[in-house]
This record gives sequence, structure tokens and C-alpha cells, in this order.
Amino acid sequence: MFAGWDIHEKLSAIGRSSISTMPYVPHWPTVPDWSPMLPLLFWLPLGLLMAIGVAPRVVGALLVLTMTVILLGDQRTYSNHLYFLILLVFLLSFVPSSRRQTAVRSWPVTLLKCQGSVLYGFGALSKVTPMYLTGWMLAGTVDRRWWGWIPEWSESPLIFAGIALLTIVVEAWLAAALWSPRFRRAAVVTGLTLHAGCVLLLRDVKIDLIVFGLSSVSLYPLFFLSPAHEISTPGLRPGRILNTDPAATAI
Amino acid sequence: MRKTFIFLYLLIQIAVPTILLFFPDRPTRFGWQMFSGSRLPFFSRLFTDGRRVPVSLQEVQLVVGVVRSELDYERYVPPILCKREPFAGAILSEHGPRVRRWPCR
Repeated sequence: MFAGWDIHEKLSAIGRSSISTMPYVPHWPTVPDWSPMLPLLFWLPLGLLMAIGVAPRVVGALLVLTMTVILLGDQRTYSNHLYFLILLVFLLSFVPSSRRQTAVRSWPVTLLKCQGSVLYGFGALSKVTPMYLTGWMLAGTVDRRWWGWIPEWSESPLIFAGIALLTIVVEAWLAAALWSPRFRRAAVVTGLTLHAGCVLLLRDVKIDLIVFGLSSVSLYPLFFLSPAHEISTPGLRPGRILNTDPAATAI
Repeated sequence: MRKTFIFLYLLIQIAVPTILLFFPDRPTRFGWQMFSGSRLPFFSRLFTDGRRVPVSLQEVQLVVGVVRSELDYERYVPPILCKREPFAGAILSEHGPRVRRWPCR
């Protein structure tokens, strides 16, 4: 719903702009007359159906298709959180979801967890540049209203350079620590702080950072699922499964 | 089949961002390069009488609609900035040490 709202806002802004289309490459097929209501009309009901487990593969395919059309239709409708959501929905459509089932297949869950690590890992690696490490990017994006109560020295370039380095370390650590039983809980707290910090401290925060934070954090519970032995239930092919309910080990 | 799918999925998800790390401009799409840089240049108009007037971020936002770090601004924005100011002779775009000039026709 948030993603649909975000794209609705973007499509409305694109509709008011001087450039009708910004294709990735010349003559790229674009949909010139985007209806800003389209994502809201499609994604909200499809997302709800997906959440309650109604035909996850069909609904997932429809969601992935409609979101990919928006993602690739114009340079301005690309966003990392939309791309991330597409991948999550794609993988989720392989996870059988029903209230009667207390176990899920392990491989889509493992891929979802890997996706989270890929996100944080490359987020950290891509920031290892002289430009980012100087703190210049952060200094330009932090909402100055939050710094009013902090002493003036805190606006020194050295402080922003320190925070820039810290964000890289935190993202790199999250990529690995979520897999470790020892550090998992600390990683969850750190991740929640990181995403909340982005939403609260960055300037011109729109709905996209909220979507990004929610979709990233939504993967955290998966790291707490416990692996279990193979079972065969109607609708579930035999294979390694993950328990979502401790009682299911008795099956 | 399942193993191939898992292998291909992970290969794509690791290989694509890895290759994109070697591209000179940051951020790029599909590389999880959030907040790693900005490709938004500093635009200014050059008038025929020699004046140089900076283009505000608000005007760029008005032209583009959605300001994002990885947009291909230099391909799309200069012609529109020319159209919006008939007396402009050229548009200058500065991005770090790189300065480019776009003549208005």
C-alpha cells in the first residue's frame, strides 16, 4: 500500500513535469499516459490477497509484473525499494502460505534472507568511495532541524565523515550478523535503529524511505525460524522445511 | 531444476551489483547503491551577453518532476532549460571536475 502510494505521488509529479518520458535507452517502450491511480488500484488488493495467502503464485506473478512495468517504464519510477519489493514478492510467491500450514519451504526463505544480506552488503560496499567517506553526501541529506539542539561543533565535516564510516560498518555488519545466533538480536536492534534513523534524520523524507525500512525489516523474523526435518503435507512437496510453529515438529 | 534456479538467482543477485561497483558513476540502478553518491549536476544558463545564471534545484525539480540521484540529467534536462529561457545561449552542467556545455538552438 505504501509502495503504491509512493508511486502514485511520483507519477503525479511526473505528469506535472516538463519531461513526459525519460526512458533508459532511446526508443525504450514506455507507457506515456501513466495513470497515477493504477498502482493503488492494483497493488493494494493484490498485496492483501498475497498477505492472506490466496493463490500466492498467481497473485505474486501479477504483482511482480505490474511492479516491473512501473520500475522499468521510466528512469524516474525506478527506486531501490520497488526493486527490492519485486524480488521479495517474487520469492514469497514460492512460499506456500495458508493458515493451516505451520511449515514453509526452506529454500525461498533462505533466498529471502540472502537477499537481505545482499542489500546490506552491497549498500556498504558501494559507499566505500572518497566522496561518501568525506561525509559530503550525509551533510547534504541530513535534516538540519534535528541539529538545532546539538552544539555547533557537531556540524564539522569530521563528524559527518565519522557518521559516514559508521553507516558503512553498520550495513556491512548487518549483512553478516543477522545470520549469527549470537549477534542476531543485536543486529535486529541495530537494523531497526538504522532504518528509523534514516526516516527521522534525513531531509525531504518521503514515503519511499518508510517503504524501504519496512520491507528490509520484514525479513528479520525469517532469521529466527528454526530448520526442521522433512515432511510431506498436501500442497507441500517433500523437501527441507522450516517450522513456524514449535508444535509442528510433532508432525 | 530447483538447484539451478537457486544458483542462478544468487549468481545474478551477487554478480550484477559486483559488476556495477566498477562503474565510475554512483549510484547505479540494480546495485543497491543507496546514498552512495549523486549524479545530479549543477546547471547554469549562459546568456549571449556573457551572464551566467545558476539554475535552482526547484527549477530542476519542476522540469524533471522527481529528483533522484541516478537519473540521466545531462541527456534530458538541458534542452528543456533552453526552452524555458529563450535568451539563453547555452547550458552548463558541472559535476565534480567535469564541466559540459550544451548549446541552445
